Amino acid sequence: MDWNAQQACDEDVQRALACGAFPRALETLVQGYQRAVVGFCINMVGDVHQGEDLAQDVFLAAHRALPRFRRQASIRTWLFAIARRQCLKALRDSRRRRRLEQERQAAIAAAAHRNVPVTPQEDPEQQLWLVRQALARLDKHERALLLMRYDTGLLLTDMAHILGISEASVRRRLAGALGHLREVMSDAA
Amino acid sequence: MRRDEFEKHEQSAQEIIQAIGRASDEVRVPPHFAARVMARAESSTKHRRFRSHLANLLSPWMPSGRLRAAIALAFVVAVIGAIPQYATWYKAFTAGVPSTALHTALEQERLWEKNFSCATRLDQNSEDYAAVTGDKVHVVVWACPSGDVLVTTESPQETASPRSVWVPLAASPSEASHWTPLIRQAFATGQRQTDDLRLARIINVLCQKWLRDGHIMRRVRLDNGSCRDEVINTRTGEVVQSRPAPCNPRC
Repeated sequence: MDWNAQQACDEDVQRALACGAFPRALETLVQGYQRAVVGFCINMVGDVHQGEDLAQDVFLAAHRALPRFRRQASIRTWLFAIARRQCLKALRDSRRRRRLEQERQAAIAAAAHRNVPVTPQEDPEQQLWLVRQALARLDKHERALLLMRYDTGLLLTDMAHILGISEASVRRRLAGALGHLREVMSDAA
Repeated sequence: MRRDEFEKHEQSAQEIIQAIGRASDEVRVPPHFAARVMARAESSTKHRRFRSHLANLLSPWMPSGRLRAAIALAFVVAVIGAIPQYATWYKAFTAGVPSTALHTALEQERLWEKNFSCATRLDQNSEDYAAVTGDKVHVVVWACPSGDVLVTTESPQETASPRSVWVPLAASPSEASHWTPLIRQAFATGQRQTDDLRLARIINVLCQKWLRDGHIMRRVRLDNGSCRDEVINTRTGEVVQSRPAPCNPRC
């Protein structure tokens, strides 16, 4: 979903909220952001089914919070703040984390037996595969940062709002996360 | 971090960033995802409405938030404040006395320990010995050098069990009357004219020893020349066992 489409969606949601039509606001929100939120959640937890369930939870949490939406941030920023919180909460859940970790390790082990191209930089698919593996091994907070910025395309100001820190701090953390990701990728390669 | 530094950093990691940007490319939103979310939201709203309705129905009987907090606080304070009472109950249980009599019981035990050797020297011929006989009670009073007084009472008609209790030096007769009705009677009798005095039953203590858990056994010589062993609960002063014994000064 491009920037303009999201803007249009945000405006529709705002209009529905102004009328107090919360079900309609939720429906619009889901239609506009389902792909982005599902993708974010799947990449955060590293599991398709868990990610989809989590995305549903994100929209339900948003539905509960809609009457309290104060327009201090854009709909998109607000929604991804919820998504980030839900994903981190899910990852904190020890049982779920243990199971996800086992599944992730199994996936990594299975992937190791595939024919991996030797020069990943020349193959975008291999680069994507490596990035996914590295993201899965990264600290969950750093993973959320990188996905919010480079996958969902949030602005630095939006991220600063979500995290409650300055924009300079967001830049510093992002740079650190990118550095760690590169290290993990080079180890894996 | 400055903006230009960060931009350089991003430039150097352009390939990685592009790969991250494609991380969700293959993501396919499951069919009916939106429908499922809407159904769950609807169900959740129904539950919330039901809970809200229930809360409204119960609200007249439910205390408000502050009152609830005050009740919880009062409950916690009450539980914590009652800890000394729990301790008293436990001590009373282990001592085998009612909790209301615990203080007296422990004080009696302490006086027995303090005046143990003095109590062994109880003798009719001593100046510290006094005996009083009333209509319903025989009383032997034995004063120790510490100032504490051992009062032994016995009812000839056996209307009450015999007792040996200590009256501490600090206690006034009115305080001493707390011990038992028999003691109160003994003090009342003691204030009579000396015409009522006659030979009391216990003449002297031949020997005395500590038994299990707050009990002592003493062998006493009686005015009829016989002897008996008495087991006394030092906490209540009650003679829990009394049996004839040889007049042997070794217990």
